[in-house]
Amino acid sequence: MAGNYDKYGNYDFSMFEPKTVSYDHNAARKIATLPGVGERAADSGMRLVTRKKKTTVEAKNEMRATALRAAKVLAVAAVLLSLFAALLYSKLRVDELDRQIAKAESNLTAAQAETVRLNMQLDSTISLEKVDDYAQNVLGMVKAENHQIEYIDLSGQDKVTVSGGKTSSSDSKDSKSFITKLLEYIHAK
Amino acid sequence: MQTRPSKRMGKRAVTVLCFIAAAFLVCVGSLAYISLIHGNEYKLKAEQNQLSDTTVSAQRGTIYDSNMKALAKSASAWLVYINPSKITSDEQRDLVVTNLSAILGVDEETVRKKTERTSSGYEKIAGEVETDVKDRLKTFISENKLSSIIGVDPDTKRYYPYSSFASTIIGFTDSDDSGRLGLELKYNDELTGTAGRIITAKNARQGSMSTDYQTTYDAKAGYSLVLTIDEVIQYYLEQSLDQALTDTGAKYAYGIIMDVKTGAILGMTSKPDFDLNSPNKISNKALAESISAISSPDEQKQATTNALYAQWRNRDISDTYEPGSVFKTIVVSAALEEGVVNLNTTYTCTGGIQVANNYQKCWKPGGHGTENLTQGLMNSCNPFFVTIGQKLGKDNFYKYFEAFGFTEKTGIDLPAEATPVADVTYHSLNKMGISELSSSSFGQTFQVTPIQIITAVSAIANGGKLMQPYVVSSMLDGDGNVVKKTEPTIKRQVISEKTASIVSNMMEQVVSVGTGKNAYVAGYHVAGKTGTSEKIGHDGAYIASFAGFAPADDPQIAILVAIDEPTGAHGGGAVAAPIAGDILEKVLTYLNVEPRYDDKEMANVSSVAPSLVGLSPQDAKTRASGYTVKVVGEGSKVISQTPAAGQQMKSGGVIVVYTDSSSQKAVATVPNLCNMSISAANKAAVNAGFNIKVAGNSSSNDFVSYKQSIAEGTEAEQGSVITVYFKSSVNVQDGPA
Repeated sequence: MAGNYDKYGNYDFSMFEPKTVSYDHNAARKIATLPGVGERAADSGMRLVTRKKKTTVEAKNEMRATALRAAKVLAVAAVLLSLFAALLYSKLRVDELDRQIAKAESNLTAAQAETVRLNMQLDSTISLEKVDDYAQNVLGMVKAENHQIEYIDLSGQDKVTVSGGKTSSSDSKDSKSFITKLLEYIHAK
Repeated sequence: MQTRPSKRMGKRAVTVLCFIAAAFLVCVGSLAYISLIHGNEYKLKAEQNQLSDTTVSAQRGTIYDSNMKALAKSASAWLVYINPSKITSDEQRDLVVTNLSAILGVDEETVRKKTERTSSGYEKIAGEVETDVKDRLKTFISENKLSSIIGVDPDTKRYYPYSSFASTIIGFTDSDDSGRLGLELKYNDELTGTAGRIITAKNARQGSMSTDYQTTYDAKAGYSLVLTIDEVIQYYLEQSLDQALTDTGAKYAYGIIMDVKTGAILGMTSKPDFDLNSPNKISNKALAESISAISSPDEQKQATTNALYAQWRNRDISDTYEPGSVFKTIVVSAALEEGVVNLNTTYTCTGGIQVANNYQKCWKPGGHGTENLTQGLMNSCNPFFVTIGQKLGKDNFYKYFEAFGFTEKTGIDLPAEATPVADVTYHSLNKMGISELSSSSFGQTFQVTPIQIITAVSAIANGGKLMQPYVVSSMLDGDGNVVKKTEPTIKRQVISEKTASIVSNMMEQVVSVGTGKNAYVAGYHVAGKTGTSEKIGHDGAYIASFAGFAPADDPQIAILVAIDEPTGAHGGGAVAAPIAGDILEKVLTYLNVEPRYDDKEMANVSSVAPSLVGLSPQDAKTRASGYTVKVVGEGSKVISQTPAAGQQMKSGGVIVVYTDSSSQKAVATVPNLCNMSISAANKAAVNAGFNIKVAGNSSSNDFVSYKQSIAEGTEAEQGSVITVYFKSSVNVQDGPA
């Protein structure tokens, strides 16, 4: 009885488990248990496997299945690779666009600064002092004298002269529209 | 078979548990210490390690004149620095020094000294470097592989396109783009804006990550200022005062033009001034040379500092002076308002008046005789005004002195306005005795700023309403929207409209026939008062001034002109009034104020050269029958003429017409036209083949010429019009001779 106990004194129930025949699922290397030998081997806890002969059809089927699996793996790998490449490309594009934006912004700032600089330079060349000096001393221009300036009084209302010598002014009663006149007529009634 | 743990095992287990508990406590404690006590510090370190934070400086606001012309504007620029510790040889140093100096235009010796500071890793060479210069520098750096030695950083540059134009008002910024003077200082916060930030995540190699991890806070541009200063008016003022400095040999000249109805400053200058683009350079060449000749470095440094502060000073608001006779307009306003005098009040000036133990002399020996109130102001009679002041009494005098704003700052929006100090710059009521009251009544023994005087005179022109002067009319945001607008502020009604009107009429008489007649402008009614004051602490040094407004019947602008320490004549009527008249004529024309000439004035101004081009020589002579026509050339028709058609000239003058293009221009030597009457000057000019244009007052025969636009002895084209300036030296004195 002691032989059924392990070294820790626990009972070894595996002794009562049924012996199972293990198979190698590789079709090309399938083996069978030899009669007579198998019993001895089973008694000694060993198995003998032998190659099972496959038919041509089975072999072809197996090869096709293997090729199909390989193709699937390759396809998945290709898809993954493509995705990775696309990701990498988009990242590169984003970086490139970032660089372009930064460069454009920098160019814009520089252009704006240059615009200000040139405008200021232009303004400094056309200051009143320089224009005055050039007009009088180079072009020989003469400023209009006060008495040569004719002042026009625009404080009155706008007046338009129409054909036939009639005068129309903005506050004229004649300028009332037909609708206004009609409404006034209705209200009067 | 199972066995129970022994006591020893239990102890061991407890010990282990204690260790574990202790370790746990240490961990929790450390965590608490790190997160609660040093949490912010580590957080900052982590952020610094993980984030890149870049400050984006805000663009400084622009300063515009009232017509939206940019007077100051900022743009990005570059700062150039070197790392002297990276210079490996003398040859390399020479290369850097020579080229930096040539490209950036900086002193070679200064650059060399900086390159020799080999322990330093950063030495600034130049700021505000423009892009084209930076590009040349970059080329030099890359060609010589000097990127480890020479570097370029972003910077900003403030542009002032008109150099010294309105320099004491606008002010300037320092290298940090912070205002140091004038409006740049006063409105620094508003102009500066708010800096922006770009926060970017950094990768393991401290490089910037994608913009997905970037947060940008846009910089908010500073507000722009729109000034009340009108470029054209400011130009006329500056041009005239520059000329005045040359003509009078004065030390300083300052002037203000104000809109009497609003208090808006249309022009303000203090000469000599400085170039805003080089504020640290002494503008007076003679002074700069004398300073550079000083051998002691400390003394030279001190002299330079003093000279710079002097040229930056806005004397219109920071300097005080004795107003002299100009102040009589205030005294007469107060006296009329209080009813202690009227237009019929008379006084007999015998040449002086006894005040306490002193005999106060009138500026005119022998006195003015009997005069009414208007004549007293026209003659600027000191004893008369001493009497008026004494009648007014010290309480009323002080009341109006205070009401006209002489005991407080005007509140103008410019920095460094001088603060009046009781018993220092003016007499307080408690300490005002009869002597102080008497001398103050004719504008002496107290000091005011020019801006205070023009504000007070403007109140007379504005129906008695004292306005607060201002320079900034509105503020604009970065998109040009108005965010703040200055509304005119009436401080108080100082005198009644009726009194103001009476005093305005009296002041008009001062200019028509009194001491201010050199400020007379044909076609316009000018009101004003001259002043001459001796500078305290400067024996024999005077300030000649004129304060007035125009048109007298509908005042629009007030003007103050002060000439500080003129050489030769020093009276306000002789020195300042002609300048004020010249400025007023230009400004009133610019403002489209219509002149109204009387017949005599019209006769003086309406003679202009007729157009003779295209006519035959004979027809030209016929058309220009009132003139002497000189024909040059053999052609059949006039192709050009001197003076040009429409140019003002005296009748009887010379017109030179050219009939072919091959003829040489007829030239002659300009004669002396000074110290002559109008007719004598015209005769002398015509005899030499020239014409004259009369400038300044020419309303009576006591006017003599004092200046001509083309100098005597100059070779000039015959027929040219020489502007001859006339003024009177008769009865224009208002102070000590």
